[in-house]
Amino acid sequence: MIKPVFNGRIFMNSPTIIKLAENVNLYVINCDIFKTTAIKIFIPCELNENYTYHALIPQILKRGTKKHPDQKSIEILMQDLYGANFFTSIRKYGNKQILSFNMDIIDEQYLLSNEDLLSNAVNFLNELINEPLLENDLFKHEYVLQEAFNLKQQIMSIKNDKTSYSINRLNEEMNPGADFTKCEYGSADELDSIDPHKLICVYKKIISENPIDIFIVGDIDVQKARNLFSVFNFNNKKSLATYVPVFYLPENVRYSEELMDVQQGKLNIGFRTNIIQVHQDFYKLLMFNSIFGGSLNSKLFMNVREKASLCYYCSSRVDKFNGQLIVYTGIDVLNYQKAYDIIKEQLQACISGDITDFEYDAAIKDFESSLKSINDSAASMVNYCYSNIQAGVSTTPEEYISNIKKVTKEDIIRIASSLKEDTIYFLKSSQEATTNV
Amino acid sequence: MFNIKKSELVNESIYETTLPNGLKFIFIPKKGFTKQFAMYATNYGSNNIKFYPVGSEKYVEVPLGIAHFLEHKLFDNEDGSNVFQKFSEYGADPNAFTSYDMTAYHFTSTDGFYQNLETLINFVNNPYFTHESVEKEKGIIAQEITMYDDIPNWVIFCNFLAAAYHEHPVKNNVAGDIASITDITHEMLYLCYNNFYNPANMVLVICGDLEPQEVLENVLKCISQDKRKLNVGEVRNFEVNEPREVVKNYVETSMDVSRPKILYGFKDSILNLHGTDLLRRDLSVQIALDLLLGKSSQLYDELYNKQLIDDSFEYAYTAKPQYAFAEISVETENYEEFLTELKHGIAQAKKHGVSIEEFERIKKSYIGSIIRVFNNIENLTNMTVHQYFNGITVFDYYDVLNSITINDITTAFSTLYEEEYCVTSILKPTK
Repeated sequence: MIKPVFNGRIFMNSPTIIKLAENVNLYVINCDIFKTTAIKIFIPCELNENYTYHALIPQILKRGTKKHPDQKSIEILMQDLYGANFFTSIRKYGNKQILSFNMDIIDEQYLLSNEDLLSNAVNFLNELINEPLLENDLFKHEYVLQEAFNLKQQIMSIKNDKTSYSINRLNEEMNPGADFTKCEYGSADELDSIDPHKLICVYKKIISENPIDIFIVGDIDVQKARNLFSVFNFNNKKSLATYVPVFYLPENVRYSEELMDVQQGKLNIGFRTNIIQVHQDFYKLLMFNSIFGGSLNSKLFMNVREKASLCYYCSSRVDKFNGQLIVYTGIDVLNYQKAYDIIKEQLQACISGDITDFEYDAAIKDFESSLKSINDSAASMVNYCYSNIQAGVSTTPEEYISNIKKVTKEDIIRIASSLKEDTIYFLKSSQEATTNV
Repeated sequence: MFNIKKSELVNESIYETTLPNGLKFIFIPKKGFTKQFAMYATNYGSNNIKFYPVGSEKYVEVPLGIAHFLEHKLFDNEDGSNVFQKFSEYGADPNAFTSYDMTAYHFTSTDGFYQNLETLINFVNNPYFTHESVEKEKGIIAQEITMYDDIPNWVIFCNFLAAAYHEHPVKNNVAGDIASITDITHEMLYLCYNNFYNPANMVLVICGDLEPQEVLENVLKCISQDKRKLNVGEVRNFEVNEPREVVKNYVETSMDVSRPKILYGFKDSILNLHGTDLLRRDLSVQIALDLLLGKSSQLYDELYNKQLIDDSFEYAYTAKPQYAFAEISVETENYEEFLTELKHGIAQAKKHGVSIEEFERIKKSYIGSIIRVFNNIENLTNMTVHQYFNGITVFDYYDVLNSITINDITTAFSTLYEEEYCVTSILKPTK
């Protein structure tokens, strides 16, 4: 196993990759600092016309398997495994919906008894994915109806988190009709009339064809890990096309406003960078973002919040899959113009080269710290590796920081100048707010 | 010299000592972790709004939200700069939080730990408040308050507390409100600081791959730089007479949300417990709630299959010496039916009691969460600070868990969710 080293410190133990079948890979990350073993199984799907059915699948699967036909028996199993954590989730990377199935089990060496928790956990995950509870070759009707209803409620609830909602809305306004702006949880309308035959077909196709990446993190050796997952009996899978986003050069800036009953206005600004992770300017963009609005030392934080007292948060974020950068802040509705102007002034400051040594050094140290910290959490290590897979790169944390350190102030100025403001989205209340302290 | 506690079960140690200035210091070694974490906290939070300053017979009352305001202002340096920048020299990530009963300042670092530690201790030990800096912060905190006012979970919870408690300051928002913060002055900040940021009222917890002796030497060096002259003595909090009854059993508000949310809270009367007794009560009630409402329970099954609950369903218990409460909440259109079924289920469970098998299995499942705490440096440190202020350590969990019997659960059941001490807090969509 190769252990890459940077300045004498190991960033994280590189995974050992075992090919279990075509497009089925097992990543073993051996480390002994945790008291648990984490298992994460990722199945990516295209964000296409079946996206609602994709999202429904993990919700149905966790309702019951052949051997554990309801939530109660699954929960009892988890309790018997000394409080194992089990959860499913759906996440978006570019134009992919990633279905994930996760378990986190206590490492047996910390138990007083001799029980093989790990095999039980892996066997359960196999049941979950490959041996669902079926009635007449369809998913249990009751489960389908209930979970379709629940998923619909979850979609409708997205608007309760005003910050996330406003960022999603900016993306929609900036990229009308684009697949990647589709909600990873599906369409609320479609969930009213799910076709159970189509559902089982979509499930069978995904399970038999879509790539699978499995991560196991803990005090485990490669051979044991390989043996554990033999129960899955994987067949060869097809690969999915790597996402290539559409790049735009906006001609003018669009303004979009939405009214909601909110106390605080949400002002979001979308820029086109047209830079994705494989692009040679990617790390220059990351450094620009850190200085502009990606940290507590950033120009946005220091000026919009600390100097002008207009907000509690004002940050910028790189969308590395779609070649965008967004600024997002929560302000008093009356301060829209003031906040917008200060934000634009900070961008202008970067373009003018007003970047101090302190700002530059702080950004480098921030990246170093984040990358080194990956080592301290199983989830961080897995997310780092899987994000690379989805972006089509294999950059180690060491290479990452090395690339960051090569970025110059001139590079940052050039990136700042290349940004194209595309859309402003403002979520505000119908009445004028009166919070002037 | 350290007092060392070891746990063979989880293969961890805790090093404790009280420093010459009265500050409690706890170090938890975590070999193999890259990050180090330090938290310097005071047992002072939003609840402490009425108190007798050291040596005074007269009590003072300060505006709501002042502990949180003070937390913000402590980051100011005398020259007008912000101490965040100092932490950036080594890529450390500092932050702070205020809760009902404590304020904590912390940082995560992967490099230059001892320099960052000195920065942490020095900035907390060097308050600098001016009229101008206080006025400037009012705008920022006003935005923070309005941000929280838009968070449904927070609003429904605060409404519950305000409906449950007549007198106890826990009925107030931690950050105060827009009106209360306008009354804050820099003199008031100094008053609160001088009384509550006393070493005897504080704790320093450090966690990471460090050498105990080296950590101790550096901490002692930082402490020796403390030039503060604080009044040493006891700060008495104004004694609150909180009646058993709730203010009202029902509170409702509306927000722009997709569907209604209901929080059914219970104001507990089992109070004045401390240390491991409090922990025992806390764990017993949590186990009782899991047996009643957990995913393996009959009631959960019924509620889920009737589509009255989904993954938004949650419940929790908070136990402090002066107050304790349970909350059960869910987002659902049919909140009235949910409440009826829930009350019925609670009554049934109280009648039928608990099976030994289920109880033992739930106890077994708690072992996982106890062990899992040690995976994460920040969580471990956070818990250690809270537990120190509650008079326990993280190692007490396992022992107390083992000592809990089915009788403890039956007792917990019998005292929980008596209807007249319950509050129903509803959040309805505005449209």
